[in-house]
Amino acid sequence: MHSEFNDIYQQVSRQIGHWSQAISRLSKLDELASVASWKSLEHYLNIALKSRLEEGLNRLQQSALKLQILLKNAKTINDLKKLQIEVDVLKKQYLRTETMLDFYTDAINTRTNYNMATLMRACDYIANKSMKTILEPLGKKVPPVLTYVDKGLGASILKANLRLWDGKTNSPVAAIKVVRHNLYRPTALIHEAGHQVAHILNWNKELANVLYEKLKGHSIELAELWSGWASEIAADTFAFVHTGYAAIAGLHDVVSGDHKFVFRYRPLDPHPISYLRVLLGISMCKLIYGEGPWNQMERVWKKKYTINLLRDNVLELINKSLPLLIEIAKSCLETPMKAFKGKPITYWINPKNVSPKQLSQLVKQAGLALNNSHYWISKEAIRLLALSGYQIATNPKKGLEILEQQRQWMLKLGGTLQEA
Amino acid sequence: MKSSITSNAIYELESPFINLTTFKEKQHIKPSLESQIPIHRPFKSVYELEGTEHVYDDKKEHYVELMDELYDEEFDEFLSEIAHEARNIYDKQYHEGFQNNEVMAQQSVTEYFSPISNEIDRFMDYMIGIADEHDTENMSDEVWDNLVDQYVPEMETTPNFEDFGGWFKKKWKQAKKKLKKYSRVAKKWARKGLSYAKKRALSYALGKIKRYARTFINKAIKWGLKYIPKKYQPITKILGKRMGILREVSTYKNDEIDYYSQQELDGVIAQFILATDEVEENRIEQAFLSQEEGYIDNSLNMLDEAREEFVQSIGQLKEGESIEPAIENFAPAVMMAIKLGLKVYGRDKLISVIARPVSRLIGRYINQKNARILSRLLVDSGLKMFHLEVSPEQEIEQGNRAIAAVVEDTIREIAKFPEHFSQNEALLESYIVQAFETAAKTNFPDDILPEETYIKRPDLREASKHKVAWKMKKYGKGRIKKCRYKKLNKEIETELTPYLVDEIKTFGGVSLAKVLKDQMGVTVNKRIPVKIHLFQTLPGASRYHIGKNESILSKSSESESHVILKQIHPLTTVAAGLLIGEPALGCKSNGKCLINKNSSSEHRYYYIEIPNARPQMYQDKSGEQHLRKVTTLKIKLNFIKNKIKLFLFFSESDTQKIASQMRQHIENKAAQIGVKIIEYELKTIFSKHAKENIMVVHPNVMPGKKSSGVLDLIPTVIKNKLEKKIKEWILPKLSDFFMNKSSEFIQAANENADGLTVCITMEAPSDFNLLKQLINFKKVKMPEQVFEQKKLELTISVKSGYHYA
Repeated sequence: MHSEFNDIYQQVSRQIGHWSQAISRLSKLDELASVASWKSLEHYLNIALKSRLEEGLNRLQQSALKLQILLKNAKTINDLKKLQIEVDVLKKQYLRTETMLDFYTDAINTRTNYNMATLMRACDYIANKSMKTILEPLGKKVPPVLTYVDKGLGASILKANLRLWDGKTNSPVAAIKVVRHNLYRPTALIHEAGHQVAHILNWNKELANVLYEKLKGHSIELAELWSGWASEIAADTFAFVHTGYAAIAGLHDVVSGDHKFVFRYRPLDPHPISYLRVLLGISMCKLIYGEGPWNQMERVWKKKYTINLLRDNVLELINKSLPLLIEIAKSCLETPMKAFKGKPITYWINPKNVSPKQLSQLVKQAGLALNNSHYWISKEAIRLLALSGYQIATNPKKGLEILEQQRQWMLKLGGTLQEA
Repeated sequence: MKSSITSNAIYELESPFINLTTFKEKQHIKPSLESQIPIHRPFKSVYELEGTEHVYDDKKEHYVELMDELYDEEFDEFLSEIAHEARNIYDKQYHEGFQNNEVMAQQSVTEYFSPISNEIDRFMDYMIGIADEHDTENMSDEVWDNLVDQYVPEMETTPNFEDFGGWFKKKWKQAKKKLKKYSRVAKKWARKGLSYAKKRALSYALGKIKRYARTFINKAIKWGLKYIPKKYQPITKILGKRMGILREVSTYKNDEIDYYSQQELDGVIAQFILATDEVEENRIEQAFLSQEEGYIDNSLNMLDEAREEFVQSIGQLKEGESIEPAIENFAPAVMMAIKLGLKVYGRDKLISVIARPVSRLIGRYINQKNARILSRLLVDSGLKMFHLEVSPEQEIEQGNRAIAAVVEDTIREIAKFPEHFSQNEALLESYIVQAFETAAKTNFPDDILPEETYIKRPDLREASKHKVAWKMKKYGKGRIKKCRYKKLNKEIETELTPYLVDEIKTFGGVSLAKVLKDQMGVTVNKRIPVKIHLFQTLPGASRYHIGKNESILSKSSESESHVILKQIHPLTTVAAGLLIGEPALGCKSNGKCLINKNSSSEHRYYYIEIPNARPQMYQDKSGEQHLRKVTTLKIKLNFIKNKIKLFLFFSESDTQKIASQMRQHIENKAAQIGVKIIEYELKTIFSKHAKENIMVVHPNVMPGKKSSGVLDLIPTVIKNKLEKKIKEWILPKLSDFFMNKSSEFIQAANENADGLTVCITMEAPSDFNLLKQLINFKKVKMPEQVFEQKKLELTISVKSGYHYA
């Protein structure tokens, strides 16, 4: 016998059943990424990530359960109509949660084999360590890092503690994309970690103000321009204080290209014009270390990218900026900031620790054990990264050998991190 | 022995926790004036120990040397994990309804371990095959090892073999290492031609070892299950007795070791290798292979059930109804769990000594209202930590659980009273009150009594700065609430400072600073804010149970249990005082908790939650991860070879610190660091907590980690002198080594290994023989001065990695 109530009941019941089952399948995290991939994460990261994802899944399961109870207690057609709306909401919630899970499980699934998983663990460690150096003494919590490998030119980050797709869950980890071409020279990891640090310390806004104040005397337009680039400059500064010239060499290789690309200026783009960005990095080297191989980089860079052919407005911006680069570098590195408890960033992370002289001293101290001993590798992972970046930049003939050495110590580092 | 100190005053049953002054009419006992304490003269010129002097012979010496050679520290970890895992599986099944079928439960445990047992069989067969096919008599150890290492375990080639976390593979590797050791020793002794075994082919010996090893694994599993044979005598004891070897003098009881001793297998294999005829071989084999009849000790599971029943009984008591019958039912389970059955306490005595007094003591807390007050206090003082929304029913239940815990602890204490207490009722009563007070202050919240009472009697609570109470933690999942340990209801926030972590000692007398630096990557060079989690094991449980159950520590696969356990430290009163400013929260074992890592006695432990700290791992050549080792000194006093050997292991961080100075040619600084480390280690090793780091190889002492117990037979003054002289003998030479042999050190430091070991071998000093005689219960005339030699011949070598053989 047909009745409207029965008809709707059957339809709603089927839908709730479908979504409940889908949610149940989605909840099996070990089926979304392989057990081996989950296990390849460092122990603490596995716990942090799984527990936060499970929170999101629990919420979804609770919603489905609530609908099942409502269906059971439904007495009128009106009750069922309300439920129909709720089912649509559940469906959307499911899709949002699925997007969130997909992002993380895709990231984990890039750890396709033992070596890749081990290298990724090493990258997690390096990025985490770079943040720890400054966040810990400033009394801030250091977020776990999940790196994943992907195609493309540049790295990127999904910062920790941002609201995720499901609208409820906060991202439990800083998820950093490392691009394949830079896997063995991952100074960009530190740049991305710098974005996370800047977010936690509210550094971007402060640096923007510092740059604005510094440059407004020269030109308001210039001041606005540079302060608009503050977030990327902060991340570049963070990478520089940790890895010195290696960061600049890495940046150079990513942002170089044809004239159009190097001089591209897009208003509201947080990335500085590549031409100026590299020269700012070189200015940082000059400011902290004096003369060095970066002078050669500057010469070649300026020769390759002549500014004569530029559009007027870009040319003007560049011409006005060039004489101020050292001052801008000083503002980034030497200005005491609230973000750093009234000290400059160099007070907490001394870029002189990765000067060519200090790196050569490190080689002397650690000898052959430098790339072999788990003590040196875990203690000096960032300086090792700075060292190999510097060596490749200054001795490109030995590039392959140095990269292989880098690969070996990264594998060793990943191998010493406790698996889940 | 009767107590000679008695007075009326101590019979007063006054306690703020109770409202009665006596359980019965007072009966005064006349104080005894007799003192039975014998007077000893403190010094003697002739030392003579109680015991019979033993003679040495070649066979005994060979046996002891063999046992020493076969000992493998890592194999202890294998046995400990096998034992715990076996018990875990069994307990799970027990609570799932297998309790009436021990055989089935046992079978499933045996089946669980079959991948390892089968692999052992296959590996031994593989080695037998090599022995059959090759001329092993003229084969070097390296060639033998090479051939043996080509074995591919089946668990690696079986695609569907489930081994998440690689636990089986890790355990198999540990077992394989030991089996390889046996094969090498069998090969060596077969070639040496000293025994009956040499007449047989190596494959015959390996066949025997296969059989023994298989039996041994089954025994180790049974030990884990707490299978109690009706008549059990360890094989080492039988052998020791027969050969006239002293039983080791141990600082802890045998039942405190939670795993089967590897010496059982070493002993039977050593005996087989040394047997002079078939009769001798068969005799010991029979003793080892025979299956002991027995039963599985389920006392802890039964206590869990009895505890639940008791909690329910408290909840169901009506107004005016006595708790005595419930205590009467509960007490036997508590006593069985500490191996004290009704045979000690007959039913009448059970009622008069335990049930009645305890029911009167606890009576005032038993009603719904009081249970709720108790619970509220518990909630206020930290239960919220567990994020519990407590319903009124749960509130009452929590209160009842606290009451049950007080009763349980009181019964346990009473059951441990010496026999003579029960002959003096007044004395007994006062001690019962004392036991009750101790239990109440542990399990009841700290503000249960008015503040003025605590001012008068500060000993009635364990903490003065924090309001705390210990709570039973549910162990594992399942219907029945299993309890193996308690947790303090509060995590205590504090700070670590450099001097503090240097002063706090963990297992083996090692400083906490070293463990944090080498194993957690935390160098405490400033104030570091941390949270301290406190635990107390119940009798029969160990740190393993805490590690397995606490989510902050575990949430991980089995393969990590050794990593987790390294983070659970003994809470001595010193550690409790320095870490949290509450010395009374420390373990009541008087420092014993520092000695035995596997103790299953009641001890207190702590875990330090340090933000961003992570276990420091080392990956070996096969890709397996291990927790890094801390700098340690181990000493072998070999009275057979007349040598003293020191194995100074430098952790990787200490190794690189020294090597770094050497690489920069600052050798004097390197020597300074190295010498400072050994000075510290020498001080530690001769402390009472580091006994396991000294190994004694003596014809009348069973070798192994407990062998150093015999050093208790040596007068302290002589031991102190030896310590001082060892320092004098080795420091200048070691300093020279660091200054002049830096290239050897650097070379070892450059290897892919975890740290390095500096081995120092000394020809024994002339008075070393005195110690040998003292250990042998011989009457020894002590000269005025001992160990007077100014210099001693010694050699120093360095090897990468950890070595102790």
